[in-house]
Amino acid sequence: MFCPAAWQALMAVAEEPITLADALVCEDAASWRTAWKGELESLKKNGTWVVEQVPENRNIVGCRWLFKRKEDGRFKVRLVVKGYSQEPGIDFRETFGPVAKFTTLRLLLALVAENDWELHTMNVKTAFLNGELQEEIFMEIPEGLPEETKPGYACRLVKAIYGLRQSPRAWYQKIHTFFVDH
Amino acid sequence: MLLYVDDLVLGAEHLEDIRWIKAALSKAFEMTDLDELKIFLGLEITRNRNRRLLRIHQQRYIGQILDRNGMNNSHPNLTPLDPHTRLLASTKTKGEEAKANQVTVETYQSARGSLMYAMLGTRPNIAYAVGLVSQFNHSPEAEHWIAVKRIFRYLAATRNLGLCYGASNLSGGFLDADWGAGEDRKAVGGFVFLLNGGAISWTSKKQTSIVLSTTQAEYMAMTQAASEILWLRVLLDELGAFAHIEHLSQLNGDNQGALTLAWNPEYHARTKHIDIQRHFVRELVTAEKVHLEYCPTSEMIADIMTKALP
Repeated sequence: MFCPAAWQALMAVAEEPITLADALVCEDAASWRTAWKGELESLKKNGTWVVEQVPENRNIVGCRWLFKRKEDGRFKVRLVVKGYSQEPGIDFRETFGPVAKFTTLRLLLALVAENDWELHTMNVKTAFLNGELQEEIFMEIPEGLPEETKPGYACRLVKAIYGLRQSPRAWYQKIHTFFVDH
Repeated sequence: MLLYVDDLVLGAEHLEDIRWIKAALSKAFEMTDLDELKIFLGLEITRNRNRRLLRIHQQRYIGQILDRNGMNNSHPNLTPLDPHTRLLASTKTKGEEAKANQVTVETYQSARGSLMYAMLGTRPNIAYAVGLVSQFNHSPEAEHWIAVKRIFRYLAATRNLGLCYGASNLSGGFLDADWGAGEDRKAVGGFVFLLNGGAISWTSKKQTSIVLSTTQAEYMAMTQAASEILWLRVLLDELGAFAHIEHLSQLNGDNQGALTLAWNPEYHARTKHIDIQRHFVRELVTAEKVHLEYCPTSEMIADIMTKALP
């Protein structure tokens, strides 16, 4: 069962702040601030959302900043949407995103060995943020942007974002289109 | 080319092709080039290109799960299951259970999950053992936990084992079923598919309904294996490995009754109870999408997917 007190205790051990306010006053405030600014910058550069007036009776999905210390000591800040606050049929329709099976990988490896093929690997940075959305989704204005917070306004999402139910699918469709085009 | 969320595996005949794909990808997305593939989802890959050998194993992962489950200094064991022990479901009431148990459900399930990932990656030889201990997931007892620890001890002894492609050119499917040895008398069916000398696909599964003969148990396992062939055929076709389509459609069974039934619908009175969907196999054989072969039990690779071997 989810227990907020235990959760807090656990997080305290890991020394990771829960909220933006915590992050900006704790011991490592300077590092968290830099990481947070950087993430905000890349979200803006990516054109993830536009601030617009919300039409009446539209669902607005929640969001929060997530703070994570990487094993190598880096400070990582990420904005996540509360996917559970999305309404089926309006905020999302299809959510299935295929992933490769081990069998497919092994089959490929057997062929690579047989034909002495080259075998390389690459990683897509912030893959999900590349996905383009089919649906019109409004997200609350993230914490820490006072100049943009005005009543009746929210972020209309243009690109996918972590936590969104359809993000894996949007990303898969994007890269699928890329492979088909090439 | 293979994609796992944000990790990409690129395989190609020439380095220039790889460079070209990498350049095109980097233009469209922000990419990190990790060069030659050494590890993917915990599977470690080593190659001997002169001899066209490729080995995959999970030595590092196995070390981690032994650590995590406090089994690192345990006494190694050379088999994953004790062939003389029969595991039975719990008959105790809830109250007794809590007292008798040495292990919590959470610990048991998490340990079993760790074993499962090793099994799915490179260790078909623990598939039957993992399947067996999974049956007691909801109320594990001391003897079940001993069986789980035995699998860990087996992995500790054999952590460097993995799969090797290229050591022989053996390809094809092997299936087997073990009839009604378990407590609930349900049969266990399993199959293994080999390509270029190494296993690429395997399953060990307790069958969902009770069967009345070894023939029927084998026939059900055959259905499962035949479905896998259909999928492998599509995949090989997409990858342009046309020669292997025939190789992987070769399915070897060791039960004459089941084979005869698939080749030719005889013994009608004794096999009427075999469900219609089971005749799926016969249709595929007729369409020449699956080729069945007899393989003596002594040479049956899939034997290990259905029972504890001494």
